Order: sequence, then structure tokens, then C-alpha cells
Amino acid sequence: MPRRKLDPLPAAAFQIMLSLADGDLHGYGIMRQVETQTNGRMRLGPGTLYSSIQAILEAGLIEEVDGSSDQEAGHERRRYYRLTASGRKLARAEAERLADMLRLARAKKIFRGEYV
Amino acid sequence: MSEKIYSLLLRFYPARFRQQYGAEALQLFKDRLRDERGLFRKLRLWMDLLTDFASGLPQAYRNTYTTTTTTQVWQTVPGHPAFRILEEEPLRPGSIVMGGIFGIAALALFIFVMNHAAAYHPFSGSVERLGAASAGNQSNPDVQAVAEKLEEQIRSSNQLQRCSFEKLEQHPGNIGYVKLTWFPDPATCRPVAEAVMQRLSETDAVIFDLRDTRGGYPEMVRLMASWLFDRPVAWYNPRAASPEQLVTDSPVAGGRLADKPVFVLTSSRTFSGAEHFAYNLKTLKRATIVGETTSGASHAGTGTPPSQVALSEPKPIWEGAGVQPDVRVGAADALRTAEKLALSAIRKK
Repeated sequence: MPRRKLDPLPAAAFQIMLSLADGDLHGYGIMRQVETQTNGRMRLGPGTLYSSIQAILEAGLIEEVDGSSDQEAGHERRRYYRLTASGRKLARAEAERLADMLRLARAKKIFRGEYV
Repeated sequence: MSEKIYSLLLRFYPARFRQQYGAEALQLFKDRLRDERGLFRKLRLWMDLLTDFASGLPQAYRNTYTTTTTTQVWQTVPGHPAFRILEEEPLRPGSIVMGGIFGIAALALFIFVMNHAAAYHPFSGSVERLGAASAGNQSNPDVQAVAEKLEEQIRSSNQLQRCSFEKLEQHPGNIGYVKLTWFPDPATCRPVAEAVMQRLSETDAVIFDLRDTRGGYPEMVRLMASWLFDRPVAWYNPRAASPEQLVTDSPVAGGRLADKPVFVLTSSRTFSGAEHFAYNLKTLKRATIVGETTSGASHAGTGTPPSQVALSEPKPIWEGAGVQPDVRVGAADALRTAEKLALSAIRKK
């Protein structure tokens, strides 16, 4: 089941995995990171966020880590997430797939002279 | 307030999701609420939540929530089914297909039964039986004809009332019973009167209830009496307008009353045309008069005025004296007495 759910990889799941590439983050941190890295185009709501996290968690692409060392003052204990090795591998594969697609798009000259 | 609304929204998510992420989802919402100030950002937040609700909910239900569960409340014994399986296993495609097949089969069965239900309809049979009973001992038990006749009778009940036939009934022992309040104008009521006599032809004895009959058209008196004879009979008619009205029109086509016992109920309120009917049948020994002596009036109410009468005698025989009954009983007991007499007469035949 998980394989089918993440194939093709949903945009939200891919963004979450990318956001975790730099380091461990908790839910809200992931949401902010995704918002930043997409220039505010994608703001994950709690439902989508945690459903996606659960899905890629089930697939073993990320893992939960104890966030006690990173705990911010005045905040409850939160779950932090870390990209696993297989998650990183899948993210790379997805990025290559997108790069392939970009190459194809360039070859088909759909950018109309804009330099990408 | 906003938190309350959001926790309400969260209730739509699967229990396992809420158990695992509910607190954090709410925390994330609170964080955003805290960080995003200003009307525009607030609106944007709620828009986000709505779209998130629409897109995240199905996804939340697709997840299985198994891998990260750290504590297991239940113990599964190998080889024994557990509730956990019911809770966690999504519907398999096979189950959905089977459900669909059974659903379609049930629907097809339902349609089949509805289309063929008429044969098993619980009431259709009883309507036919009712029709047969109402038509009496018909020699030809054609169900269709009986049903049509029944319908016709229901439709004609208005006509009966309009033509002063107050009651037309079949009493126990196949006795026909008709109660008139007036011998109606043959110009308008002849077909109805003929239908009544036709219906009475199907019975074994006839009771004419004239206890409340105020009178009527002499011609109608003669036409109805014609059904009771199998050959033309001299008809005493003090108001005959032509020689033809001094003889009955017997036999009437389709009439089967000539050999059947006839009883006429009378009272002290039996007037004029009704006395005419009773007097003639008594004199001809065609009917048994049961009840009281009639009023002895030659003319009551709005009948034909005597001045229009050509061949008439100046005054009817019964004027003043009335018609004496053959069986003298109170008007109230007349019907019961006549019924008894009719039953014994039928048995004797």
C-alpha cells in the first residue's frame, strides 16, 4: 500500500522531504520551511502536513527523533523528523526525474526564450 | 473560539490520526494563529485550513497508522481473529465487488417482484368476490362482467337517489329489496327504473317498500308493474291518458320476475301512486300487501293534476278507504314480516 500511495510522489511529500534535507524539524518548522522554500506558494495545513508525514513515515522515508535536545523554551515537547537514507535516495530520484522533465521542456522550447 | 472551531474540524479525522497527531495539529494551528496577525493573514489562514481540510482528510483516511505505533494495547493470538484486524484492514476490492454484485441482485429481485406483484395482490381476489356476491346468483360467473357491473352500480347510486330509489338491496335468502319515496317521471328516470327492475330480476323474491312513498307518476307505476307479469294484464288506471295505459307492457325483455313472490310494504303514510301500485297488485293477486292500511288519498304532493287526465274515472277506488293489507302488521315490523314470508315462499317453490 505505501508504495502505491507515494508513487507518484505527491508534491507535499516531496517538499517535506526537501525541507528535512538540511536538518531535523518539527511539524510547524516543516510547514514554515516549506512555505519559505516555495516562496509562499505552498502552505501546508495541519491535516495535509501530518497525513503526508504519516504516509512517508510509514514508507520509511523519514523517521521520528527525540527532539528534547532541540527543545525551545516555553514549548511543549514536539516530535522532530529526520530524513532517512532511503528517503534521501528517493528525494534524489524524484529530483532527477524533475530535472529530466525540465530538460525535456527545454528541448521542446516551451520557455519562449526565457533563460532557465 | 478559533481553536474550538478547529478542534471541531479535527473531529472529522480518523481516530488514529487524532490520537497520534491531534495535539500537534492543534499546536500548529495555535502557532500560526499567533504568528499570522492582521485581517488578510487571518483570512488566508482560514482559507488554507479549508483547502487543507478538503485535501488532507482523504489522505488521512488512506494511511494505515501501523508502523509508528509504539505501544500495543491489544494482544493478537496467532490463528485467532482480533478486533484490530477489523479496525485496521481497509475494505478489500473483492469485498466491494461482492457487495456491488449482491446489491444489484437485490435490486433486480425487487424490480421483478414489483412487476409481478399484481398476481399476488392480496386485495384483487376479494374485489372479485365482492363483485360476485353483489351480483347475486348469476348463471354466468364471468368475473370481468361482474366487476363492470359492480362499478356501474357504484356509479349509478347517484342516479338511484336522483330518481327517488332510496334503497336497492339484496337481503339474506336472495331477497330483492327496493325502497322508493316517489314513482319518478318516466321521461327522465325510465332507464334507471329498468336497471332497478333488471337487478331485482336476479333475486328470488322482491319486496317493494312503499311505506314512505308519497305517490308519483301513474305511468311509472304501470311500467314497473309490467315486469311482474309474463303476459299483458288489464291494468286498473284511473288516470290513464291512452288505452295503452290500461294494459301492462308485459312481458318485458330480460325480465325474470313473473313467477317470483312479490311483497309490498305499506303504511298509513303510503299515498296516491303508491296506493295505485299496491291496489292493482293486490287485486290481481300478484303481491302480498304487508303493513298498514294506506292513507286513502288520491292525490298528494305534486303529481299529475287530475285535469290532465283524459280517460280517467273521477276518483280512484281507494280514495277515502285506502288499500287494506293482506297481512296486517305495524309499519315498523312490516319489513321483518315480509322477509319471513318471502323466505318461506322461496322454500315452498
